[in-house]
Amino acid sequence: MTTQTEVLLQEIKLATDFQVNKRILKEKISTDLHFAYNNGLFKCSVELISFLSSWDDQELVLPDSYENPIKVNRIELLTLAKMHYQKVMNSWLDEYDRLKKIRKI
Amino acid sequence: MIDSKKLEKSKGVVLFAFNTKNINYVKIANQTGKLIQKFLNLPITLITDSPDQASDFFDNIILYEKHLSKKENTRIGYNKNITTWNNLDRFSAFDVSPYDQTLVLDVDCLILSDNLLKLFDSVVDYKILKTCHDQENIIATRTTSQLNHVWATCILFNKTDKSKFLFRLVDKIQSNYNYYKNLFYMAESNFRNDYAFAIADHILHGYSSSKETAIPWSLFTLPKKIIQFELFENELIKVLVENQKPIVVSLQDMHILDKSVLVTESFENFVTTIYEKR
Repeated sequence: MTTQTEVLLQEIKLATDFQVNKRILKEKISTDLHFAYNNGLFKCSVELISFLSSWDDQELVLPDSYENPIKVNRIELLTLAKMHYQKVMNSWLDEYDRLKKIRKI
Repeated sequence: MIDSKKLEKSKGVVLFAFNTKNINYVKIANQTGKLIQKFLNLPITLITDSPDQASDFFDNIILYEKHLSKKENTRIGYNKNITTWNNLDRFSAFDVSPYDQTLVLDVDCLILSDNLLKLFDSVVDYKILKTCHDQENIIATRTTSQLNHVWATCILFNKTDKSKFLFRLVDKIQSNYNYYKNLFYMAESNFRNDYAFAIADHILHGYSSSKETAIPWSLFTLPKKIIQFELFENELIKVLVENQKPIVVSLQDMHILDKSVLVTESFENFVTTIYEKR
């Protein structure tokens, strides 16, 4: 085996697995999506944001991640949820792009 | 006039560190404490029998002389080798914690985010880690018992009657472990905090499982032998794992089963780099 091939083989051996890293990142993002509001814990999702956007009343009761009823101010929670969602999604994209870059040997 | 500060609940972290023949747990706790201060910014209480080795990151050090941890707990570890733990005092966390709200962590749980802070406002009695994942999404837990697995690695509790009962029950289970392990079909003969808390949590919920006490996310766990941690490319962590391709992850909490890497100089440097960053 030539030295060049050996070096290449060594590099392949040390290269990281993008699919594994991507999966771990997705799990991390799922954790990061949680946020606390009014003594409840919510997971930010498109469903939560859509529901809050379409509801008319100012105040309502929503179950949190623990199925506890939490009285919420719709606009306040919506603003918080949107901000949190945007922040986490941006960091997902940023970290995903960085993982994509380092998969090249 | 009511002093609002007096109404605020005190919050803090409790770590247990009792050295064994092979592993200096206080040395690991020193690194964990540094990361806790950086990411959670909470006061830390260390419970140990070797206070002289503790760093300045701890607000309180409780010298635990009458501790049960002097009695070694031996079992086959993640690496199939016989491993010793001095970990029989976890049930006493409720009594020794000086805080209204306490986060009890294993010293091998690396805190690299502020996610756990989100739980403090919503915890009623206690919350305990029930799910972990590794790079292959496979973490070997129990095979014989029908009980859901619990990780005593991370427990958050308020000083309420129910939490008190949980820790009292763990004490009772520990003292009568043979009886309880047979009752719940545990194959392993040696004591494990994970199992004791799983049994106690199960009993407290009328002999059924409860989602209410679970931390609602999964903790990234590295079960294999680790050669080194490296910080690179603006806050990405490269983990060199023995006989495996390296893993690259962004900053997140992680549970490290291989203690040997946590006492190395390279790990100390890795923690220092993170601590001094940002």
